[in-house]
Amino acid sequence: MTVVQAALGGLSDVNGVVGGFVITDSGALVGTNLPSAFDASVFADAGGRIARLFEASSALGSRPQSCILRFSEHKLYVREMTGALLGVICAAQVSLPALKVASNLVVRRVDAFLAEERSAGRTGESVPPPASVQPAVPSPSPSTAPSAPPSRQPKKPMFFRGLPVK
Amino acid sequence: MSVAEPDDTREKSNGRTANEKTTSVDTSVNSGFRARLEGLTLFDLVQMECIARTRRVMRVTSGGRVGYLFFREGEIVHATTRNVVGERAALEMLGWTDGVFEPCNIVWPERDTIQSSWQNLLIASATAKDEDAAGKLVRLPSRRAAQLDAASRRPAPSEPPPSKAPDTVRPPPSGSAAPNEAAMKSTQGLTTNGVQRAVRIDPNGKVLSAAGDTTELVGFAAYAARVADLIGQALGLEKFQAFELAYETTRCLLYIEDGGNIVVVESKNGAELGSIARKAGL
Repeated sequence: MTVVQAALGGLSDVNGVVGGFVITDSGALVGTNLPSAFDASVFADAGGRIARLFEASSALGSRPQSCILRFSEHKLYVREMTGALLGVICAAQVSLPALKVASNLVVRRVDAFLAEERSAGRTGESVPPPASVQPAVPSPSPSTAPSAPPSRQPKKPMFFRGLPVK
Repeated sequence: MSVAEPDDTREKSNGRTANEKTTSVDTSVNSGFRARLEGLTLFDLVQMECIARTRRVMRVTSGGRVGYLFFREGEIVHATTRNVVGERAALEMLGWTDGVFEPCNIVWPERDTIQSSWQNLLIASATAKDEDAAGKLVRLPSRRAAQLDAASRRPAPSEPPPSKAPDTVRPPPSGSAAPNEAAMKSTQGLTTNGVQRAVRIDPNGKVLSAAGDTTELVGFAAYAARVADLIGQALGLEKFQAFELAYETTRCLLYIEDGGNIVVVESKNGAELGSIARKAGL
């Protein structure tokens, strides 16, 4: 059991919680303690969409701190973390105050763990960098992506119709 | 778990038993394709039936056990096994790991005994399986389990014998059926105190009514409602109804009305949105 899974286990103290998960800002799964029916393929779709919903919500002002999605019989509670999002699937009748307190504890532990991982330079467990560290501009093209960072590449002289261009 | 041909065909053609792991599918008793599928779980088969929105009864046999799942309009509306009926019976069958899944003719119950959605049943079953796999020796009885126990005890005379044809099975009436709550019919609420801006749009994004500067709110509402619905589908949850976003000083509440119209309300954090929140089920 990973540190993230162990931290998520605290959510089950709240009656009605099915389980939780942590995804990066871009939607990649970091860890989950949901039933095995929620496998990685589920989050391949859902993770990105949750991240996009949060990103789109920023258009109304600042980035939202949390979000509750209501379905017929379930709720999905999403809470922002440092460079990541915590999601909790629970019954519709769950006690939200209790869930928020339990989520705060999870966020505190997972945030601390992810910060340690980042400071140690370990990224193997899908540890997300904080949003402020992420590059603001996406990589320009797939052809240049596998090579070294652009800043380290030697600058090639550019020509247009035989004339050098500065 | 697999899907089987109708009784007469299966028994005459190859004499397979309920314990075999390979069987075949008859998607309709009277017409349509017949298929043989292997290695499916009951989860897969239930989803297929529900997505097809068929109205029929499927018999599930596994290792000498037998049960019946009643499908109608994309939901499991009734289930019965040897000892229990309703949701508890459905969960019992969903815990079976192999067997045969075949259509049969059986008397329908007078009332539905299952109100939960099929997604909810699958989640509950998956959770129970994981708990069992984790090696828990004792599962403390929950209030929900106790309620289900009380509601699902069936009288002994109506128990279907596993080896007998199910035509004589008559599921007992259930007193637990309740009409669905009519929710979110009202369209009022856009002028509640504390609301900064609000908009109501139809499913195509056309603005029906608005208050305040709603330029960016319209696009956000249409996009967010769609993405939220897709999130629910990806996670195997039910129909999306509403969401609430909490910002540092404001909050945004979105809900879907019965006719499919989308309402978004943005307010200060301290604003009283009780009636709107109740409509949204939040």
